[in-house]
Amino acid sequence: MKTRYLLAIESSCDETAAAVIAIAEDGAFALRSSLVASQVDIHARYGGVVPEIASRTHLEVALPLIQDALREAQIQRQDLAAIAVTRGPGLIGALLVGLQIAKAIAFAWKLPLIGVNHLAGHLEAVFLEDRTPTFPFLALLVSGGHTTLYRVDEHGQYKHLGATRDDAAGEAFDKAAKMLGLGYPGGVQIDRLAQQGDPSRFPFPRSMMRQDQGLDFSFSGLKTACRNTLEKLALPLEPSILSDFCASYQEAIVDALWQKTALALQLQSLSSVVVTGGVAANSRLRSLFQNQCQKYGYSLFLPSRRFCTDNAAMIAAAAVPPFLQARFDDLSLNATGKLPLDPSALPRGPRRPPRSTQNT
Amino acid sequence: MENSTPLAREGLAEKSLKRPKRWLALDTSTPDVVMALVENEQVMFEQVFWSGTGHSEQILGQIDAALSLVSWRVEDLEAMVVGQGPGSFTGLRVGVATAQGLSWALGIPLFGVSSLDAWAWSAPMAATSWVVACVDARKDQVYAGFYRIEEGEIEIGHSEPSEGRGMVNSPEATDPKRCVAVSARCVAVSSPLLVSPWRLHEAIKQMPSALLVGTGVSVMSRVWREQGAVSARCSAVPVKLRGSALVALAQQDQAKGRLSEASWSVLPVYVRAADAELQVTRQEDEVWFAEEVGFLREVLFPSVSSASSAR
Repeated sequence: MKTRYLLAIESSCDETAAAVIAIAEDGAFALRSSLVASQVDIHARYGGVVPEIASRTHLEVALPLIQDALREAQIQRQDLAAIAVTRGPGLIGALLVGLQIAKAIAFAWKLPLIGVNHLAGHLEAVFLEDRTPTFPFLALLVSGGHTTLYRVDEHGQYKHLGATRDDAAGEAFDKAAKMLGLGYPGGVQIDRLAQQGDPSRFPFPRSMMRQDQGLDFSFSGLKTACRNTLEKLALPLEPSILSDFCASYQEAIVDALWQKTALALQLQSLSSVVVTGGVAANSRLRSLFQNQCQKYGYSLFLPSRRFCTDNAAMIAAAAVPPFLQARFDDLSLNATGKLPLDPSALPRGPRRPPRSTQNT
Repeated sequence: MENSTPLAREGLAEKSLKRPKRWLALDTSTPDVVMALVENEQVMFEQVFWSGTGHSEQILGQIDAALSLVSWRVEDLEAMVVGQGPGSFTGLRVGVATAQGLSWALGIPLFGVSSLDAWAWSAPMAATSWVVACVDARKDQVYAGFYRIEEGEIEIGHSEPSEGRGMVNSPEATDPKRCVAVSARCVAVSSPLLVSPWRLHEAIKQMPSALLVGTGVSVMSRVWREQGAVSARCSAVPVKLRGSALVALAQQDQAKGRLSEASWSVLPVYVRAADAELQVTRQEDEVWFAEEVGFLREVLFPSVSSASSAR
């Protein structure tokens, strides 16, 4: 059997992406092209992603990007064996653009379609690298919308261990950056300013750190502490104070992420950990996890930055197992805004009384 | 898999040189999915079905079913036309994304036409001087297009609406007399506008006779209930948007020498900006509002405004 090619499309938030991978007979795959059209500059003036504008922009750029991805991979349409596309979670209007284009192309070219969970994409991104973990391993998925620990026993088998009860880590970065007037996206700015700063200058709290509080995270207290600390300081902050502030704030987030990761490794008796998602591109997170894992003898797997932030290569990677097992979706595949990776996990957050089914 | 058209656009130039015969039309600007398959001027299949917010789930399956009903393969399609709105933002994107993806993958030209124009084409036009196409824009507004009917001038090349093999949704659509009615010249006097139903009501009141079509009719009828009837000569007819009207408009554009662009340059015409943009440009919004009033005055008193514009 010859090499088969798979086209993947991603449009769940503010990045439009297309990628092509080559899949060998034994299931090993190699990336042939991976393009990302970022909308960061468009959303910067609004201080965050505006769903309607994101959706409009996806439709303007998706098809040319797909054409370029195929061209860069130097393949013909008849070389393609399947099309993979993100089906959720994400912004529903944004998802629909990529999904609908993918379905139309699959229909025209009579190709099987594979709907991929965006979060599975993040978790499988590590397999795009040369050095890959062996199962089972712990995965920390940390991005603007998610902060979750999973136990991964096999491709596609993710057990939810803990998650943030309020803000995601990426959200905590963005909200602090907004308070500091650093603009959007905040994580990148804080990362840059923190390079020269003293992380011990401001004592920011680490929430839910007691062992009996389990593997859930909380970052909303940190946000309040950020506001309270800022109120006591003269604004605008002097450059050196701003750097120290950013370094201290970043340290609090990254340290909390590490503490829970270490606890999960211990509780699950695992020795390998994968850190992925947009926040995994943060340089302090990368260095702290590298140091700690080395110190305690864990193997750390950090996908390169371009595979941590949203991209379509990871969607292609996550589509390989279903592709090899011929598990395909039909053309009625719909986008889903909320799509948990592990449906057995209990929903978190404030408890609501169960909805009565006996109302008349 | 057949080995024609390696990567999409290469085959396009060759295909667009000749007049396309087999068309697929799509419009998803409203809760209805509107589809048609037209061969030359013959409507082979036409349907309107309500899908609410399920456009994405249903549309490709319905295209597949329609193609097999008329025994075409998807590769047999030679051109596509899509309604660019205005209408539901997400709905529009589902239709336009589908049309972009399909036409690009098949290497066939894609045309975009105004959904309001298509509404006007779908209306039985005899014996009125105006057609007002309006689509519910929610937030107490409608998208409106104004069309003047000029009798005596016959536009050639409009498709024969009868004898469709597929489902035709409304009885008047199969009425042969209608062919005469739709061939009267229908002139769009404005690009699509976003207006409040009350303002539109004021405009319609001044028209000697008008026919109102589109999903905005239900919005307008609320206003009429409050304000009393508009005029004895204004009627709202419950026609559905017709896919063959989209094809007719595209064919007309083509006859005038308009070339199709790349698939991805056919985009929705939203008319309304995203809310976030409006918040940023609130001052500009006031200017726009003044323009809206100015335009409606022009519709109401064309003689006065033409005198002032000559100045």
